[in-house]
Amino acid sequence: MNIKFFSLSLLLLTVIFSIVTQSLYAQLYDNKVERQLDEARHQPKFRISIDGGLGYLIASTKAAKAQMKSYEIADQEADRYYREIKLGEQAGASIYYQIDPDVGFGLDYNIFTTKSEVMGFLTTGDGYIKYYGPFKEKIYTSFLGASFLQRQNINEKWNLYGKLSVGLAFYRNESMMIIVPALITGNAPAIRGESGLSYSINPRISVIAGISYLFSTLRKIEVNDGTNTTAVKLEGDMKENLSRLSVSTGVQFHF
Amino acid sequence: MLTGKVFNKIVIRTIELLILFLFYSCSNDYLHEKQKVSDAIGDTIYMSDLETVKAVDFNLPQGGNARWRILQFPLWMEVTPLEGNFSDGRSSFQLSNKDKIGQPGIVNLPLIFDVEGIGLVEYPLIFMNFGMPRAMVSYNNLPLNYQSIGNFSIQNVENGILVWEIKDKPSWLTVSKQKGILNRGEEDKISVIVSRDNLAKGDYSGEINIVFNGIIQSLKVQVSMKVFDPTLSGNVVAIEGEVVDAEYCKASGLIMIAAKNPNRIYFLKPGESMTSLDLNKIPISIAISETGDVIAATFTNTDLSLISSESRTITKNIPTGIIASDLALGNNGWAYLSPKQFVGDYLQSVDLVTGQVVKNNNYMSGLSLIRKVPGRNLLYGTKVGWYPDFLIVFDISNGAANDIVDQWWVDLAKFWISEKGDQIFTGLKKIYNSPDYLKKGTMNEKPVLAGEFEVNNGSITSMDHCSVLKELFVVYKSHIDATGTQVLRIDDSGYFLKNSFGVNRCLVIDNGNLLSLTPEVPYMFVNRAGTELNLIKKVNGSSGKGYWFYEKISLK
Repeated sequence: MNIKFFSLSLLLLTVIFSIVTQSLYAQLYDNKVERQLDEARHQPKFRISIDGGLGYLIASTKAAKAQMKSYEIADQEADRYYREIKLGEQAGASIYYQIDPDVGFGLDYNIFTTKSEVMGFLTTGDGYIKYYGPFKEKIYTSFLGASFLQRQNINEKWNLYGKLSVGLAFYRNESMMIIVPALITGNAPAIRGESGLSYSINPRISVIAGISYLFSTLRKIEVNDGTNTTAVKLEGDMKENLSRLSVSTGVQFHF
Repeated sequence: MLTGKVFNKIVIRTIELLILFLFYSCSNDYLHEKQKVSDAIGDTIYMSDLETVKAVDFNLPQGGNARWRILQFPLWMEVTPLEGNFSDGRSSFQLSNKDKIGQPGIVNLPLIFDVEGIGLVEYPLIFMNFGMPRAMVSYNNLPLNYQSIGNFSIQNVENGILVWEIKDKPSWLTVSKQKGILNRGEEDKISVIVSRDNLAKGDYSGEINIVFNGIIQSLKVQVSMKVFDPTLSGNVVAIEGEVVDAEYCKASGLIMIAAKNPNRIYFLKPGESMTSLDLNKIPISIAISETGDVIAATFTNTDLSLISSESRTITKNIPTGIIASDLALGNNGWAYLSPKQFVGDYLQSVDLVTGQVVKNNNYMSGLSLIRKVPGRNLLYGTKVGWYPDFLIVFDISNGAANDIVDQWWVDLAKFWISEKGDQIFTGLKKIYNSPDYLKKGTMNEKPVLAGEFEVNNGSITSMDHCSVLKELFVVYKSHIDATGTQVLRIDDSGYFLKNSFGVNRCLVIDNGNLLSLTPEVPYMFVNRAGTELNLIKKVNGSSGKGYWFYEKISLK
């Protein structure tokens, strides 16, 4: 599945869905009193939301860029490469059980993907051979955690919400150094916080827009070259910072 | 209810999406993808670290208009461009040497290209790495003076393969080796040989310019030498064995050289390649009649052998009973043998038809050199090494030499007779009119003196006369090493020096060393037309071993 395509589709769906449901409700409930009665009858126990947007990795790329020099990659190309790597698409989903209309507990899932490619050189240790070709990475970082949701009404339509999730971040890096493939995987504890605004289209459907932050550091990875898998403990500066800042929009269902 | 159904559908679809998210998984297939490999390019690129840039055609008929990218190449090289497109299967790129690699030698390291739609294509590359050699020459200056040979060496003192080549040198110099390849620590010894042909008297100097592939890219060796007299040289042929005698027939142009160890007679005639007759006896002397039709030789087994001028084989052996020192042939079917000193004391006449040997009655102790006087029935002889050595005149008009022998009280130091037999030229630079046979016995007087010529500081070793040129050719070895061996061309009536030239030194490998030695010329013959000079040259090696050469010099 193409995550970028999925994220954009989700965004579009959110907009279309809002318009369609707004008109549907307008037809079904033609007066305010009936709508209020219905809302009272259906105080939601669950909230499900799906969202999509853009994420930005906040880890420093200074060391990685320096490493690029050993592959004879020009500074501008290295800058471009990491600019592309830092900015990726993300999509997420969550489900909450509401212990009251404004407080819920549930699960939060999120996936972030990014990729980039640059041409460079690789030298073998024997001092005789040099390779030229693409250096490319396709990174997936997903998060799954237990989540706490707090809502605060601003007015009849608008709400503030905040989420705090604790769980695991799953890292998957599909890399290719010219002709040498490698799959780097790992997981690490992660905390994800999100806050945003929701707009109630009706008592059951809201459109949400939020800003989130994922904090996680990878301390151990497994490298699979297609033949062998090697576990590598990352020390000091080698630790992989998965933290990112994201903005997203989505839709939330209440039932 | 309708509202609830629609909403429930939306929720179910959303949950399905969530599950899809949760179980979203990426494929690991890319870890096991195999690169497609195509056939290698038929050509091979040959390159060395001496080449900075090399343009290479990259033709791959099945490539069509595909895109290619270099994948693998030697670390020390650059490929330009790194990517390109074929045009109807044709493309090109450029290889350049960017860095030096450490270990000298041949590296076989193919280029590998990734060609769109075809896969990996190998382009063989053989790279010769000469490394970082450094050249040294043993001498920067070679003052040769009058020497004809000198030596220097080129050495590689650093890690690498040194390629050297002599790019420039003086025209009067030849070198034993023009180019070479040296590994670390190896050296090439170069001999320089001076040719003084047609060079005017004077001092000469020049540079041998040697170029290298190493850290030092060129070195010069200064060579200087002196010319006493211009020299002439011709084709030189080494003669195997020790020459004991040589004769020349002006009528036929045949030169015969008798040698021992191995025992052999060499025949040299214009227009023919040299032939030889191997012998099972040791030759002492050889002779050929004036007309060239009779050839004879004497041997240490006392044989006098007749040799066919046609087949050049022995046709008759006549045991004479004496060991001769010299041999002369008359035009009368008789041969004359002078005795070997301290072994015999009488001239012997031999009838070549009957084999009859007639001993002359005159006690002739010391008689050694005898020569037939051209056009006359006379035989001249002398006692080489005696004082005086006399001019002895034998009458051979009746076959066997007359018992009455004229002896002129004169010192000669060898003699040579003019082409027509009217004069004799002596080693003491005197010219006498050839005396007739007077039947007077010993005479306390000298023949009529015709003149004298000059030779400075040297020993005359041979002479010959050419009536066409009206010149007497005199070869002498100077007592001054710088002068070497000279040929003087002297007017045969005024006896003044018309011209002179030096005889080139002989190069011999003696005990493993290449030596340039001043030769002696014991035998010299001018052809009748005066166009060719034939020299038989001898040099002595360090151990006393003699080396003999035949050289024909054009006088045109």
